[in-house]
Amino acid sequence: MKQHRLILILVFTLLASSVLSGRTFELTDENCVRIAVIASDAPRLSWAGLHGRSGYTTNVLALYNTDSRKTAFLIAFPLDHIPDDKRITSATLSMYCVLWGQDKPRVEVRRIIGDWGDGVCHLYRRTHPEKVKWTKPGATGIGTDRARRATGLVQLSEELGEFSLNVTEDVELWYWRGVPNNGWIVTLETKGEARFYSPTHEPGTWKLDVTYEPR
Amino acid sequence: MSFQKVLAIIVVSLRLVTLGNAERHLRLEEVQEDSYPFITEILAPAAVEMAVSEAARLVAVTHKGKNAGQISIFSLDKTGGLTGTEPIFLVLPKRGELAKHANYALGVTFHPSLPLLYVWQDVTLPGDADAGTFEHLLIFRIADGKAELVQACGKGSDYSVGHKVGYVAVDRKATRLFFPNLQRKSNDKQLNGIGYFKLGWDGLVLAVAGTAADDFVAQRETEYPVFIAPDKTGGFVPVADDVIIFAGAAGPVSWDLVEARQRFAMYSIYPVARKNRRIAAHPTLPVVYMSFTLCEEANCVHPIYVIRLKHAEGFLTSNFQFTSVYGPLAPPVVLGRRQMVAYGGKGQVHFISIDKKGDFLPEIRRAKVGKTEITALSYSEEFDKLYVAVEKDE
Repeated sequence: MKQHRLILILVFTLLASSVLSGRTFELTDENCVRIAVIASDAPRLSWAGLHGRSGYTTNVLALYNTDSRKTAFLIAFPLDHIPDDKRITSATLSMYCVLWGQDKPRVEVRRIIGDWGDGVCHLYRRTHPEKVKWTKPGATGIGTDRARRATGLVQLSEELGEFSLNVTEDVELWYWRGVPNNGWIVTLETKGEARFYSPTHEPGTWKLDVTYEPR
Repeated sequence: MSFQKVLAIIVVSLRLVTLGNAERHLRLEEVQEDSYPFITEILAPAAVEMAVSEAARLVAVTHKGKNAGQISIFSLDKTGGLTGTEPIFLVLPKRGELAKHANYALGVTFHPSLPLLYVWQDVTLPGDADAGTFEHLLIFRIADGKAELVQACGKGSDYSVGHKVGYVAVDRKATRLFFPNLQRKSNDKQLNGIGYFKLGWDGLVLAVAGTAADDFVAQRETEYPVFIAPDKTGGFVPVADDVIIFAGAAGPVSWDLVEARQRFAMYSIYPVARKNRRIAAHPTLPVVYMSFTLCEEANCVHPIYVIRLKHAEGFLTSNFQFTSVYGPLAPPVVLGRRQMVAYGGKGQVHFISIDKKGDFLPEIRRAKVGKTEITALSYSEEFDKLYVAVEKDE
C-alpha cells in the first residue's frame, strides 16, 4: 500500500510540474495539412520532389538551386495546440539531410507571408477553390510572398543527419502577435542540391519542437 | 476507488495532455446500421469487375473461371432498378490467328453518353506464340437487347499478354480512352507502358489518316514511365481534361498530357505501396482514394491500406490521410451523395464515412451481402444505387 502511495505521489508531482512549469511538445510533418515542394521547371506541381528519369517523385525531398531548376519546400505546422496566454520559450525546426551535392549548400528558412493551400505550385499560392498567383513565381516576392528577413540559415556539414534551426521568434510572432501562420519556405541559399527525407515517404522527419510556460 | 482505477485515470489524463505526434493511421469505429436500401444485388457468378452506364441504363459485369470469356450486361429502369429481363450474355468473339486460344475480359467501361461498351481483353498463350495479331480493345454497341461488335483494335508486339489486371477509362469529354499493359525493351530492361486512343464524336477510335479499314491503325499516344510495375496498373481516373491520375508503383501518379516538363509526378507514400494498387476518384470533389495491400493472394489476411489525397486540376496536392479495411482486392467505390467509400468484403460491403471535403471520418459500417467475396461493385450518383455482384440469390 505504501508503495502505491509513493507511485501516486510521484505521478501527481510529474503531472503537476509539467502543467505548472510549461511544457515541450513536438509536431512533425504528419501533423501538417499544408505541405508542398514547388519547382521552377514544374510550374503546376505541388509535389515536385525528386526529378528522375520519368518525372518527379516524392520518395526523396530534393532541393535544387541551379540555373535550370529552383526548388522550395513549404511547410506550415498547426500551432493551435498551444493553450492561450503562454510564453514561447523556445522553438526549433529540424530536418534530416541525406545527401548534398559537391558544394555544401546553405539552407535558408523564411516565413511565408501569403496564404497558401490546395494546388500550391511555382505559379500559384493556391488553385482551389480559385487561382491566386504568388506576387512573383516561386514565392520569391520579398516582403510580399516571403518575409524580408530570413529566419535563419543552416549550413550543411560533412556529417549528414538532422540539422536544426532556432525559430522561436517566428513561432512567438504567430502565436502572440496574431501574425497569420503560413509556415516556412525552405530553399538553398547557395547553388547546389541537397536531399532530405520526404514527408510522404519518411514521415515524421521534419519536426517542430516548441516549449512554452505560463506568462 | 481502487488503486488501478486511479492509476488508469492518471494515465488517461497524461495521454490527453500529450500533444503532437498524432498517429497518422485513422482508426475506424464500428457503426451499426440495419438497412442499406441503396444496395442492389446483381446475380453474377464469379464476378470480377463492373461498370455502370447511367446514360444507357446498363450494368456490365466481367467474370473469371469458366465464364471469363463472357460479359453479362443487365438493363436498368429509369430509377436505376433492375428491369428483370434476361441479361445479355456477351461472349467475346474469337478472331484472327489466335482464335483457338482462350481470351478473357480484363477491364470494362462505358462511353459517358453513348450506348458503347469498351472491353479490354487479354489472351492466354503458350510461351513462344506471337500475340501481335491479338486485338486488345473491343467496342460493342448495346441496343435492343443485343451487343454488336463495332470496332476492334489495339494490336501489335508492344501490347503484353497474359495479365490478370487491366483497367480502361474514358475521359470526361470522351475524347480519350486510356489503356494499360504496354511493354518495351530499353537497354535490355523491360519498361511497362500506358497509353490512350483518341476517340471521335461517335465514340470510336480514330484511325491514322490513310489507314484502310481492314488494316486499321489507331491514333494513340503511349508513355513508358518507370512508375508502373508489371501487371499492377490499377486504374486511371481522368479527373481533368488534360491531367489524369493513375495508380502507380508506389502511389498515385499525375500524368500531364500537355506540359512535357511535368509529364509525370508520383506521390510516393508511406507505408510504401506494395501490391494490388487500385484507385478511384470522388465524383464531385477534387479527391482521389487509392488502396493497396501487402500481399498478392486473394485470401490476403493483411489489411488494405486506403489513402485519401487531394488534387487540384489533376495535380496531387497537400498531405494525405490513411486508414485500413479488410477485404478482397476490388477497387474502392466512392458514393459521393452518401459520403462514403465502399469496399467489398467476404459476404459484406464495408463503408468508410467521409465528410463534405472528402476526408475520412473514423466510422465504418458493414452491410451483409451474399456469402462470398464481393469483388465487383459500382455506384450510380444519378440513381443513388450501389450495384453489387453476388454469387446466387440468397
